[in-house]
Order: sequence, then C-alpha cells, then structure tokens
Amino acid sequence: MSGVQVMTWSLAILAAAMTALLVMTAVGRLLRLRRRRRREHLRDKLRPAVVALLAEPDGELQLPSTGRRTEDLFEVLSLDYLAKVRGESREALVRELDARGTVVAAERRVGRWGGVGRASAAELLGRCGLPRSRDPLLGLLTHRSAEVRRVGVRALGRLGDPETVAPLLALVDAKRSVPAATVTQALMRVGAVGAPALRSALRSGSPVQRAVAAETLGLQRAVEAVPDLVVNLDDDNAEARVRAAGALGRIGDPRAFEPLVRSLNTDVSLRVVAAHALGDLGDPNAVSTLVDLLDGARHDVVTAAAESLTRCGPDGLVALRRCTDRGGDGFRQARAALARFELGRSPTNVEADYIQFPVT
Amino acid sequence: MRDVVATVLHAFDTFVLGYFLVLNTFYLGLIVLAGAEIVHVFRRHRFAGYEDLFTSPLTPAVSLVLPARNEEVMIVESVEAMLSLRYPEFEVVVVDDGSTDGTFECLRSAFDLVELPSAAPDDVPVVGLILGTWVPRDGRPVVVVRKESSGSKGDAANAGINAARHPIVGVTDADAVLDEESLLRVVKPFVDDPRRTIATGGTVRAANGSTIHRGRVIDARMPRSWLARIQVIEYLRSFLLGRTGWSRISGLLIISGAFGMFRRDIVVELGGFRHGAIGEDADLVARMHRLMRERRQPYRIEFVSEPVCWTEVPESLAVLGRQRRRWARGLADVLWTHRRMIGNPRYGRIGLVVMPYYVVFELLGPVIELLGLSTALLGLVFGLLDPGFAALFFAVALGYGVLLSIVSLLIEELSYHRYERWRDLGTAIVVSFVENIGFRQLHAWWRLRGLWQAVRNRQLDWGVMTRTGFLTEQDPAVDGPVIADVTGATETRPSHRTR
Repeated sequence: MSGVQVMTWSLAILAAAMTALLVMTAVGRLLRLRRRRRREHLRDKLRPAVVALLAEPDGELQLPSTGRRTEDLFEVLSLDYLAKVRGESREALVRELDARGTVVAAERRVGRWGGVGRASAAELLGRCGLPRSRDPLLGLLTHRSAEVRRVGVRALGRLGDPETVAPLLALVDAKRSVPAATVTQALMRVGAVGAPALRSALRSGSPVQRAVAAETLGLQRAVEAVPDLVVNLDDDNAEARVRAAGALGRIGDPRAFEPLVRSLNTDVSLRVVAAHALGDLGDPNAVSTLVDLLDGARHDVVTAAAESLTRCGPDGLVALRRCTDRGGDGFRQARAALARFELGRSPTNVEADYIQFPVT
Repeated sequence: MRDVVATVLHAFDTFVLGYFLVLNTFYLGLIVLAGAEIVHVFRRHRFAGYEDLFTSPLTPAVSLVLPARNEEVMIVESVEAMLSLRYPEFEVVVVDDGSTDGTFECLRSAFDLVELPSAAPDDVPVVGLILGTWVPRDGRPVVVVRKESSGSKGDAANAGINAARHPIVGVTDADAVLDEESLLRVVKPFVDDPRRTIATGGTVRAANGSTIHRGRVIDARMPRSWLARIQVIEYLRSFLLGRTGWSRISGLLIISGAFGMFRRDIVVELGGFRHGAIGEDADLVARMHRLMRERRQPYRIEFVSEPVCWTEVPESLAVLGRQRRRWARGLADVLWTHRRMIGNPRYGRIGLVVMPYYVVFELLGPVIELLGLSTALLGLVFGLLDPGFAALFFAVALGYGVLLSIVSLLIEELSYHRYERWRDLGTAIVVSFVENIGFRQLHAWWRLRGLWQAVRNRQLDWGVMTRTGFLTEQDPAVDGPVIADVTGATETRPSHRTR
C-alpha cells in the first residue's frame, strides 16, 4: 500500500470516527434532555405526595403512578427528605420505604458483589436507621473497598446502636482501616448511649483506639468520662495524650485543671493542646501558668497560651496587657491575641485537627 | 542531490507524523482514563457524604490564600463570593502584593478593616517586606496582608501561607469564581485519606461569556470571542480531562495555582513556593513528589474533576501569547530544576513516565511541530513533496487533534454538560475544528518563544496582564443583587494570574 493510500485510509477512518462521536454527542444530549424532562415531570407529581405523608404521618402515601421509575424516584426523594426531617415524619417515611420492600432490597444489595451497589444500599439503610440493619452493615466493615467501608461506618453511626461502638473503633487500626475522623463522626452519631463503651475503650490495648475514644468523648461533652481522660494524660502514646487533653478542654470540667497544668510541664508533645484546653476551661488560676508559656520558643505554644489568656476572664486580660511590653514572640502574640479578642475573633481551633495529628 | 533532500524531507515528515500519532494516542489514552474516572465519580455521587463532611466538626479547616495585585475592579466581590462558599470552617487570606491601585482601599472600606499587630510566624521565607496585617472589625474570617511586591505570585502566596492558621492551605486567584460546593469537594480526599493526601486541585474553566450572580456562575455560556472559545475547548481537553487522566494514574504534575489545596505542614517543610520560579504551582507539586518519593512515604496528589474554578481567559492575541510564553518558560524551568528526576526510577512513574512525557511532548513539542511544518512547506515550495500527499499528511496529523477535542466534548456532554444551549454545543464543535488551523500553529510559536526565553534565561515581563474584569449590571428581575457578565476588555494593569 502506498503512502497516499495509507493517508487516505487514515483520514477516512478519522472522519468516520469523528462523525460517529458527533452523532453520539448529539444523541446523548437529546436523550439526556428527554430523560431530565420526564424525571422532572414525575418528580413534580411525586413530591406533593411525599410532602403530604410528612405533614400527616398517619396518612397513607398515594403515589401518582406505579412502575420501576416511580419507585426509584421515590427512593431518591425519600433519601433527600430523610436527611432533613425528624420525628414522626421521618418514621412514616421509613415505614413506607420498608412497606414497599425498599429496605429489604437494600439489605440484599449490601451482600451482593459490587462496591457501588453495596455502598448505595448502605447509605439507604443508614438513612433509614432501622436496628435490624446492623448486621448487614457490620458485614461491610471488612470490605476490600475503602469507600464501601467508609459508607458502612457512616451508616452504622446513624443507627445509634451502642453495640456498634466496638466494631467501629476496631476499624481505626484494622488492616482494612477507615480514617479516624470518619469513625469519630460515626461514634458521635451513636450518641450518649455509646459513652460507656467509649470509656471502656480508653483502656484499650490500641493507642489509636484510645485516642479516638477520647476525641469522641470530648466531642460528646461526656462529663462522666473526665476521670478516665485525666488518666489518659499520662498515656504512653503521644497521640492518645493529645486527644485526651483536647477532650478535657472541650468538656470544660474543673477537675481537669490540675492535671492539664501538670501535663504542660511534663509533656512537650501536648503543650499546645493543653494550653488551648486551659483556655477552654477559662479558669483564672491558669493565668500565671499560661503567662509563663509566653516565654517559650515554639510559636504554636505561645499563640495557644496568648489566646487562652483572653478566655481566662479579666485576670487573663490584665496579665496579657502586662505582657505586651515583653520582648520576643510572646510579646507579639500577646498583642495580637488581645487585638483579636477585642475584635471578637475566634481563637485557632487546634485540637480537632486530624491533619496535624493524623491518628491513622 | 535533489533525491537525497527529498528522501530526508520525506523521512523527517514521516517522523513528525509518527510523533503526532504517538502524542495524540497518549493523550487519547489520558482522556479515556479521565472518562473512566468521571464515571467512577458519578456513580458514587449518591453516597459521597458531602453533607456529613459539611456537618462534621472534624472536617479540616481551610485557609484560602488569594494573592492580589491591582485587583480593585473585583477584589471585594471576589472575597465576598469566597466567604459564601459552603464549607464548615475557613478563612480568606488576601495578600495585597504591592498594588498600585485602590485594591487595599476597596477592601478596607468594604470590610471595615483594622490593623492587627503582626503575629504570623516566619514558617516560609518571604522576600517582599510585610507592611501589616488587617482584619474586619466585625469578625468575618478575612485576613488582609499587605506587602511590598517582589514581582512574584509565589512570594505573595508565601506571605499568605505564613498568615494562614489552618492545616490546609488553598491557593486561588483573586479573580477566580468558585462553585459553591467546590471547597467541600476538593477537600474530601484529605478527609478520606488523611495520611496520604498532600495536595489536590480542581478544574479550571473559562468564565468569559457566562453569567455571574453574587460571585457564582449561574449560566455557563460559550464566550463571544473566538479566541476565548478556543480556550474553552483547550481547558476542557487539557485541564479537565488531561489532568483527570494523569491523576488516575497518580501522575499529576501540575495543580493550577488558580485552584489548588495543599497540606500546610508539607508546604512549610518545603519552604513554600520557590522564589523566582515561573511556574511556581508546578514547581511546588514537583517538589512534593520529590520529597515524598525520596522519603519513600506513600502519598497522593489528586485532581478532583468536579469542583470548578471559573476564571477569565485572555481575549487578545497579545495577552494570550504572553501567558503561553510564560507557561512554556515555567514548564522549562520546572523540568530543568528537577532534571534529576527525569528518567530516574527512584521517582517512580513521575520520573519514568510523567516527566519524560513533559520533556518529549510538551517542551519539545513546538520545536518538532514547527520544524515539521517548515520542512513540509519548503518541500512544497521546491517541489520535493507531492501536494496531494502533503495535504493528506496535514489532514491526518490535524484530524487526530480534532478527534481528541470531539472525544473531550462527548465526555463533557455525558458528564458535567455545563453548556446547556444547543448553540453552545454547535460552537464548541466548530471550534474543535477551527483551533487546529491557525491557532494551533500560533500556539506552537508562542511556546517555542517561551522555550527560547528559558534557554536564554531572559527576564520575563511576567507582571503585565490585561485585566478584563467582570462587568456588572443590575439584574432587573431581582431586587438588589448584581449580575456580572464576563466580557470585553476594560483596562490593562499588572496582576497575578495563573493557568
């Protein structure tokens, strides 16, 4: 075959491919627009029925039509509303989904092959929050796909079942793990019923689990966990110590004051978080300790101390004003913290930071 | 003698054709990978968990750094639009980099700024003198750092990084228009994989011609100018699909300075943006790859195809030419600075695939393209090449380029379909053909000149860009708000712009 023939054939193939692609583009758009129109039309008909059910949870759902498309769209709409409504309206919607077999189908899909199907089913089960979904969802926690595991964790958190605390915690340092922030958020969703299990986890053999348990208890403001968290300030693991200090600050219980002050002097690794936590406690007795920190060399510690002083009441502010004539970084930070306080600006949030302190 | 020359010419042109085929096939592969990635993202949309991300107290806070120089036209609108992004906790750090217009005054009056005692750490070096730090009196999360300009956007960004309080630092342009959910989406990889993710980038699209309402693009349209239309297709092919494809194979070398997120601790460890680097964004990413590979530490640098940063693209040949020369010079600078990585197995696929690709196809591409074009023309003039064969030759070489653009259009149409009008689709199809005749060759010429400037190490006229600005007009349909239509040139001032 000559060069000209090769070129001619190549050009013909290119032209054919281009034409086919252009036709696909145009047809794709036509189909998409048609599909969207139909969907919007159906949604407009479906929405009033769903809203009527939410308004009158004892009423009966009257879908405007039947068929697969209607059922699918009802599922999508329900998922949207489940994220927004509470109480009887929510229960009515879940009841309706269950009655239509959507929940059972999702429970089946969770066990099937394919990550996308499992994850979308898990999302639905989580939104519905039925206790019986616990076991199928627990099965997802060892799935090879990190994404499926993450969705499973979120869904389990929504069930609010204290039995899920231990398996969720175990995930943070499992071979197939889930990021600590995702697990912590799920544990928070479990709520106060999960606190006893979390307190037990503070004595776990895994430092990562101890850290996550402490973080969660802090976010839940679990006052009853203060004595356990104080013990964890002396944990062998720096991460666990840091999380315990942050949690004590969040809870804001005065029993944490002395241990936090002590940890400032003994542990460099949690100085920033402990200084911040003392600010959270707002105890004027912390003023002299925090003022001492202003002489430190580490910028983050000095900043945390200066900002915490602004939260220790009038004594802290007076001390801070006195410090503004000092030299060094402490002087700069004291002036800046005072100015920020006077402008009503929030201090830097240091303790909830999984990027700075990655647990897993 | 004539036969020998004809044979050499023919052989060279065959080489050029082969080069084009390999280049375009490589690119087609990237586009197919990007298509697969976009399908992957779309299928997971229902359970992506953005709402959880938004409501979680553990979602990492972000400092958005906006280096700004002579941006009085739109700086207030930009900052206000940034403040209305949907994200749990973030601050906007504007760095006024020696503006000679009223940039700072506009900010001061709009946000009622008061000066704060300087307290930012010197985590990364800054060359320009810091003149002061200002914050709004009402506590809105805005910080304005004023500094003397050192003529480098990277230096301004470094000042912003020092002032940033949060663990993730986003760098964007002062005139960028971000989609409302863009921060949530571009930060998600940091949450999903906090140990490994060190940087992410989002898609950049051309805002020219689109309708902007309260700092958001509410109606994407093709621009009126053909030059801008060509860039719409280019951005779609290269920025959306090219980078998504690279990201899919963990080979992302460039995160646009118009919309990139970085872990602050890693940036600080690297000393921030390198002063004097022309392609400071690519340079930072290359250094990130280098650091992590040398430490043998697993990491991810990810391109997120969904969040969109809309930016104004040049509408005049002079400005576009200057921009493209700068990009070419920036690429040469990055590749030269990190030449140790090229072909080095220690740097994995970045060293063995990505950087060699950039050298062979991006850096040397214009040399080969223009040489091929010149020799073919000479061959035609001297009767050494058959005109019929030459025409077919060009048609095949350029036709493959057109095919790539059309594949990109198809993927866009089946996925994000931002341009809803049939007319815009028609225009895009026409542009896919037109850009290959004339613009492509001109682009190669600009890139060649950029490469030449890099070789000669000439000082770059890098600060001067045409500021078109979002022309604003009152929306008669709504009470009060402002509609902006990105169109038309208004003024020329030095400013910081990125790719």
